[in-house]
This record gives sequence, C-alpha cells and structure tokens, in this order.
Amino acid sequence: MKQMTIALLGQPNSGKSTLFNGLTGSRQHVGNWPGKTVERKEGYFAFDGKNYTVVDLPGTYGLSANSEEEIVTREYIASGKADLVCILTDASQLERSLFMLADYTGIRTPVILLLNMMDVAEQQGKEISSTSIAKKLGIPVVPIIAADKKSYGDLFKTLKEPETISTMLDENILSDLYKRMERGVFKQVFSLLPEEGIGVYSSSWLAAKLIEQDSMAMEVVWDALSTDDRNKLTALLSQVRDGSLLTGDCKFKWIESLLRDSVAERKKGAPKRSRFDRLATSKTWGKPLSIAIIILGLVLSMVIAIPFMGLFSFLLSALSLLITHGLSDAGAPALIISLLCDGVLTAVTFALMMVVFVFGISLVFGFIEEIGYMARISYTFDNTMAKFGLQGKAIMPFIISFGCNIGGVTGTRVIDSWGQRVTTMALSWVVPCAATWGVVGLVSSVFFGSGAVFVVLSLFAVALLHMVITSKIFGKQLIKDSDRSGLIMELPPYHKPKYKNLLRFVLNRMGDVLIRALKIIILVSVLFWALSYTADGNVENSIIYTIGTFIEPVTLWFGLRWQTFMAFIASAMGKEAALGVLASLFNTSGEAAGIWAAMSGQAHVNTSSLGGALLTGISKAEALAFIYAFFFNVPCLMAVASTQQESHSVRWTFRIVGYYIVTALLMATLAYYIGLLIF
Amino acid sequence: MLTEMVRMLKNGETRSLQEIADILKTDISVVKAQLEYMENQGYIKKVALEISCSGKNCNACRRGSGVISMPVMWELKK
Repeated sequence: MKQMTIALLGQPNSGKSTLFNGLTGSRQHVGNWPGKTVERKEGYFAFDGKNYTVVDLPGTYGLSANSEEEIVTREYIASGKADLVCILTDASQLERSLFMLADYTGIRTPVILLLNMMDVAEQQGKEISSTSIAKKLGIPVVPIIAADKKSYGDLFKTLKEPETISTMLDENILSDLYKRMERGVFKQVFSLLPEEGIGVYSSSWLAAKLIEQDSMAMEVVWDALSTDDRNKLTALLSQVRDGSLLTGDCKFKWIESLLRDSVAERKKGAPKRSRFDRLATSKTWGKPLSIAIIILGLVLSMVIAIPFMGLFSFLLSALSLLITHGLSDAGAPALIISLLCDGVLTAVTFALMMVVFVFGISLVFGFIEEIGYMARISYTFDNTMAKFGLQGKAIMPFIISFGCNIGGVTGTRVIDSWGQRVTTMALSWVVPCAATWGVVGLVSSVFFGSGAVFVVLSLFAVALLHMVITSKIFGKQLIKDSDRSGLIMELPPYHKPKYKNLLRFVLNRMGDVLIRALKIIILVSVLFWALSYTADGNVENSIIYTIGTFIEPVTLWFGLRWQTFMAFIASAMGKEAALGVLASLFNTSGEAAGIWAAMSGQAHVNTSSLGGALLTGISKAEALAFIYAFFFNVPCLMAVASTQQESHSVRWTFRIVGYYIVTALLMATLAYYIGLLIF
Repeated sequence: MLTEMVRMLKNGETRSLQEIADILKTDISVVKAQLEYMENQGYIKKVALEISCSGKNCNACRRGSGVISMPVMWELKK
C-alpha cells in the first residue's frame, strides 16, 4: 500500500487541529518533538488505497525562528519528511492568515492551500474565488470547513490527483517585489547565494530571511559560501535596518495582489463613516464637540438630580419630625435624639442627595461610552495631551479618574516613562471623581439654585487651566521630549446602547458611592459631634470650637469660615467626609448650634432645613470659596497612598500633595473675592 | 506601508486605523493584519490598561465585569 506524509501548517486558530481530528479520528499518537517541550501530534488515515500519515505542526504566526514552536516547524519542513504541506488559512480573514503562505513561499515542498471557515466568510458576504487564487499561486486551493467532515470531498479529490505532490508554489511575484526593495538590498544579498538555493529553500526565501536577521537562515547559508562572500554578506546585513519591515511590506503587497479580483464583498465589511463620526474625529471640530457633550452631560446630570434633592429634603423633614416626636414621647434622652437626627439622619440624607448627582453623571457618561463615543474623546484629545507634554494614552487614566482617582492613579501604569507617569498622576488628581461631582452638585445647588450650572462650568474651565499650569510646573522637571511616542487607535464602531448594561453600571456605581459615602459621612459626623461635645453644653468650651476660632483669622483670608475650613481638611481624607463635617456643624438654623442646643437639653431638634442652615451659616462668596477649595483639594488619602506606591517616590508624592493644598487655597481666595464682587 | 507606520509612531503621531488605511490607500483589515505582524516581530505592542485599587468588588472605575472600555491602542516597543 502506498504511503504519504502530510504536514498541517497554519497560524493558531486556523482550524488545524480540527482538521487533524476530522481526518484521523481516534488513530492518533501524541508525544513531544525530540528535545523540545512542544507537543507533537501524528495521526493516520487511509483513503483510496493509500495510507496517509498526518503531522499536526505547532500553530505559529510565521516561519521565523523566534520561538520554540517556529523552530520545530522550520526544522520539520527543512527535513523533507513531508511529501505535502497543507497550509490552512482562515477564509474570513485572509489578509492576516495568508501571511503563513507568504512566509512559506520559496520553500520547495509541494503545498496545497486550504481555505478554512468558508461558511464564516460567506456569512460576512465574501465571495472567494479559489480558482482565481489557485491560478495566481500555481497550486491547488481547496475550500473547506474543518469542523464539517462532509466538506472534505474536494480535499480527498485533490489528494488523489498525481500532480498534487509535484506542484510547487510560484515564488516569482513575491521575488519581484523583494527585488524592488529600497537600496537594492535584496538583489545584493540574493546575488551572493547559490542560484539553485540550498536544500528545500530557494535563494529568494533565504535572502529574505537573511534580511530579517534570521540566525537559522544564516547557519544554512554559511557553509555554502566562500570566505569572501561571507564577509560581503556580513557587511551587507550589518547595514540593513528594520529588515523584517522591508520583507513584511513585500509579503503584504503580495497578499494584496493575490486577493485582488479573487475576493468580492457583497456587503462592505466596514460601514461607511457617518457625517457625525467625521465631525467627531475631525481635528478642528472633534474637540469642541467633545467638550460640548461633556458639558451637556454635566448640566443634564444636575437637571436630573435637583428634583430628587427636594424630595429627599422633604422626606428628611418628615422623618426627622416623626423620630423626634416618637423618641421624645418614649422618653429617650436628648443626646440620643440629637445623635440620630443631627448626626445619622442628616448624614444619610446628605449621602442620598450626593448619590443622585452620581446617578446623573454616571448615566450620561455611561451612555456616551456605551454607544462608542468615549473612544473618540480619547482620540480627539491626543494632541492636547501632546501640548501637556504627555503621551496620548495618558487620556486613559484621566477618563478612569472620572469614576475614581485611585483607579486613575493606578491606570498610569500604562505609561512607560517614570517622569510622564508622575506628571500624569499629578494631573489626574484634578479630574473630579464621582464623589467630588456628588458633593459639588449638592453644595452648589443648595447655594446657587439654577446658577449652580454656571458654578460647575466655571469649575470645568478652571480645571482645564489648572491642568495646563500643573503640566508646565511638573513637566518641566519630569518630562523629556524623547518620552513622546505615537499611537495607533482602533475606534469601535457606533452601536446601540445595551440598556441593561448601562443600568447595571449606573446602579453599581451609585451603590459603591452610597456605601462609601454613608460609612465616611456617618463616621466623620459622629467624630465631629463628639469633638463638639461639652459637659456643660456650651459649645464655646468644646475642643473643635477652640481650635476653629483659633485658626479662623487665617482661614478667613481664603474666604473659609472655620467650619468650612474643617470640611476642606476632612475632604483630603475622602471627598465625602466634607459632607460629614457640614452635616454636624451646619445642621440647624444658625451656625454650629444644632447639636449643642440639643445637648443642652432641647429635646426638639430641627433638621428639616439642612439647606437653609447652610445658607444662613455662610454667605454665597464663602460657599463659592469652599466649593473651589474642595474641588481642587487632594482627592483622598487612598489616592495619595496609591500615588506613593505607583511613583515609588515619597518626595514627589509630598510635592504633589503640597502643590494641591496650596493651589486649592489660592483658588478659594480668588473665588471668594470674585464672589464678593458678584454677590 | 510598515515602515511608514513605524515612522508615524516615531514622530509621535496618533492615528486611527481608518486614517492609516486612508493614508496608505488600503483597507482597515489590511492595516490590522500588518499591525499584528509588527506586534509579532516585536516592533509595536498593544497598550494594556491595568487598574488596581484596594476596593473589593468596586465598580467606581470599572464597567460591570470588565474594565471601562477603551480604544485598542498600539505603540512602539522600546
């Protein structure tokens, strides 16, 4: 009985193993390639009076000698043990999977090309003419679906034909492309090699591999050359730069020429770009459009949140009265009533109010991300990053910071240069996290009503300015021009949002923020409540009052009362903490009187007008100063710790912390004096 | 084509696949195939975003099961 050995060659996921199993069934032997850890699979089948041995070669991208798998594959093919090589390609993505065939061109072992996954290609609307490709290549080309044994008919028919084991792949077109290589490198290398090639390799194949600096190809040709030619070859190759790019270019041109007129697409693979997308990615209009959409998102999130704030305020008022009366009637001590109503209930209401702002902002940002627009923002802001001296990918940590600054800081790992990384961390602190937006939305809505939109817009504009200045200050010392490198981006197509995903994301984020806010706000509220406690009920004897009034002459320079200054300091621990301070120090009519009034024996505590208490406690100019100080303050202690961990520099972490505290107070001062002029 | 893409990256230019396909007068699928080749040859690498923070099951900067979706990016390997 006649024998024939077939080697299956192809890239990973080309369907090689599926075909191997389909052909050989249970007649398989699995072992290792001699001296290697790479698995060797061999199987057998008989057809039409002939025994076939099938060798499943390791799946590799090409035939370079870059990995153990590629070396095994190369060595097996060079050994001449295979009578026929079957190269499998994924018909649904021929541009990439034909690279294996291009890399094989010049190896003189009979070959047939199997176009696998024809069903997928058909679903994509591709019409592939295997006859046209076969004509160009000079070898049999067989369409197949490896997973469907019924489609093996054409393959068996091809194996039966005697010329199959004698047809060689036509290498002339690819050789001609190599010969057009810049500075005639290929021609010069080719001229030094034996015309008839060496072993299974043609001179053209060897010359291309030598240009790619392939050490195994060098070993093959070394013995076949005279000393003089060896020296010439070494000198020639030492001058070649990016040889793999030069040969790769030729191989891809060859693939393009092969597919030209051989593949037709009924429906275009990539949809035409819409007018909106052209605008969204335009160098001129892309950025203003992004900014307009972000601003619209912020405004919209406030419009959504404000009615809920009113609702929570009403609920707090009703609940507070109920609890107060209920507990008073039950004879509960005033201390407990105060703690529950002034501390816990107020804190819970603050947290809920804050979370409705997070709902709006998450909904808007989640939506633009869900439809694929967020990637366009990254793209359009790339040259802005360049102006900051940063790499384009620095936009990634910034976008993450919109959710959480800690994530933003750790996200800077994406940047290789240390200086760029530290600068990006410093800049990412300016980006307001979800909690910051929650607090800013809440406080600015309480003080400025519908005018809060302008406060938010002014913060947005000043934040951009802050980033420019910060990048100049930090970049001057940390960034080198050589750090800048380009990017190639794959922008996802626009698609309909998956509302389920969007809702899950929004609810998850709200849940996270609410839990964290409740923990921090209640903790801080109770802490400040305890600090204000005095045995005689006189607040002026409390620690917090003593400290507060001691520092107030200084804090007033920044437009901050001692209470708002305390809230500013607390916000550096976690933005939500500011609400905890405000909740305990401004929770009833008049300044810091609520808790103490209750402590001194007044059972009826009024927590119904939280906003009103804040309003009567501080002026609009002071509120503006506080919002600015809060917004530009250090994001939170965890972000500071992450910065130290990621930068590995205590010195730079402290510098960033110091810089943020100073600039936040500076911003507060400016905002205060501007506020005095306006209000 | 490949050398042109590397030149763009070395010059610090940022381009989308569509832009590159337009410049090189080819299809996006061809550009993607070439990027895969350059990645395989060690010229470029995909930008991999890695985020970690101490919050267990925190969704503040994540989308459901996966990291917030970002465009796929390639850069020069240094």
